[in-house]
Amino acid sequence: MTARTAEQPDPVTLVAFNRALAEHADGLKAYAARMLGDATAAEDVAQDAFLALYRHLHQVPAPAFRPWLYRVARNLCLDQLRRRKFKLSLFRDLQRDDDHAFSAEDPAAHAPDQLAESREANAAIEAAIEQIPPKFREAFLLCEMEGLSYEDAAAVLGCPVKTVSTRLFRARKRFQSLVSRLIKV
Amino acid sequence: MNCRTAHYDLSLCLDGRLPSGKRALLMEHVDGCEPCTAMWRELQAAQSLALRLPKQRVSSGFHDQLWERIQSGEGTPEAVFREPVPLASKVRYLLAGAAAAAAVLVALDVLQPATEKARNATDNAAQPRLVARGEAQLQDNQPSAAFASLAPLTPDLLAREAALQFRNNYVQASSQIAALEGRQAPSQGQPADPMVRSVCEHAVQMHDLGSVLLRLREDEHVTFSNPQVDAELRMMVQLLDEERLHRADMDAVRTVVAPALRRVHRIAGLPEDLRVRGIWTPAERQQVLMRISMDRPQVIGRLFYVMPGQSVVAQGVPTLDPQLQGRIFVFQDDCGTNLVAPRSTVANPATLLRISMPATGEPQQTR
Repeated sequence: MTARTAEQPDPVTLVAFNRALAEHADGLKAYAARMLGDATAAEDVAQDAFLALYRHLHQVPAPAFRPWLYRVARNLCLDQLRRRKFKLSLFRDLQRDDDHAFSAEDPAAHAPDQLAESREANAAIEAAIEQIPPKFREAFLLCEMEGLSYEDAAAVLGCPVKTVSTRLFRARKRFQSLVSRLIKV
Repeated sequence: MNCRTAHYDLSLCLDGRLPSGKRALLMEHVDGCEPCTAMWRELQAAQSLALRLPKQRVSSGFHDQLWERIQSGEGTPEAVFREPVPLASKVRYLLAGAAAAAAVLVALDVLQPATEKARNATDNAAQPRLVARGEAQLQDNQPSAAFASLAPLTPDLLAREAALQFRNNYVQASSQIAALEGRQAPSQGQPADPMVRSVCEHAVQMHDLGSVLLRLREDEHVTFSNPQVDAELRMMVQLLDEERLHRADMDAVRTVVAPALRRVHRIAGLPEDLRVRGIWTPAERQQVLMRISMDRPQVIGRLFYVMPGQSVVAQGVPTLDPQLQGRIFVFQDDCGTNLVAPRSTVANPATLLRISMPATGEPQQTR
């Protein structure tokens, strides 16, 4: 741990921090959970991200809180994945894949409205998200699942906005092909 | 346009990132291309499927634990900065910081004493303004004192009203569609059902209001706390962007409005999920409102009762009914200064929106 700064935030900044905490904690946890495949570790990541934000409130302007938090959460997740030596199969929890393998022959593949509400369908959709290649999956998680703008996602991923839109498109195509049996248009 | 390009554009279209002209070209291509039509439908269906996943929430002890860690003096985890932040992101944060600092400076300026402000205003009289014509008219009539107690219209207020009106239209269209489902289809030659026309009008309004909200969100002036609401709004705006709605017939209701409304589940929570900025510099505020009123001139009228300031002051300096305090705002467009009242706050505009003239004491009715 690095030494913390002794400065206390001013009341306006503190209000902005509390608002960010109320608005983004759930999303941050969901993002980390999908990155790590582990809800408990994801909650720790979300908490670490907010702790880091609090310690750097004097450096981060309020409008940049959200991309800053996701950027930090991403760093923490990548660090954990490295430690777990899962770098080659980034974002893929092999055990979970074995348990909940999604296949086109999924017996639950019927009407999408009913399926989406069932646990089996949710597991199949989550499994499909996990199968998206990591590079594209990150853009999918940030933009599609968490609703970040392309610009914010670019700031999180450290790449141009155009790259985000391309990765998101590829992720969507992949996801669409993976869940095609669940979709009846 | 080839199909490969079209598929990429469809993904942009799903996020509302395609200019309207390019979008029209794309949809023209999609309408005549079976694989692209299928791709468009499947992209929308896949998005809908992903967004229906249950929302994850932090545990009940999350906040308490975090504050304990903060108060215990725990430092930043080292891994936080293990990935170097690219220069582009640093620049972005720096610019956002500069903008925030500018906002604080302008807010301080707004809060300075009136006498000082008046002196500054005289000093700055020669500087160009965003809306010169309307102000000049008002200065001629010396009405500024009458409006001094009124707050300016802000994009935040407009966004909140847009979200409320969007929900009203959604609720009314949904109930009318439910009523229409029980009716027999009209035979050819029969006049259009007024309820059908009403559904289509609600759909057009939802599209316009939703587009304004999405634009405000794209420009980071507002956010939505629930990403699913955000995604549903995007989807609805896409689906309701249809020429067929202007025909206002049952076919438009059946093929455009009803399917769009069936795809959403959380959009009714839009007003509650809306998060606004709260602090605006006068220049930013004016710029954003002017852009909205120029891009979609019909929207201001749909959200607010508008009273042209020039007509209000024509007969002297008015005194506003105390009841109107907090419900009427000043809005300047390129036609001059107007007084506006959010429609959701005014139950009966004929009796509520009146301005007493000191000369006669007679209330002047405004539209």
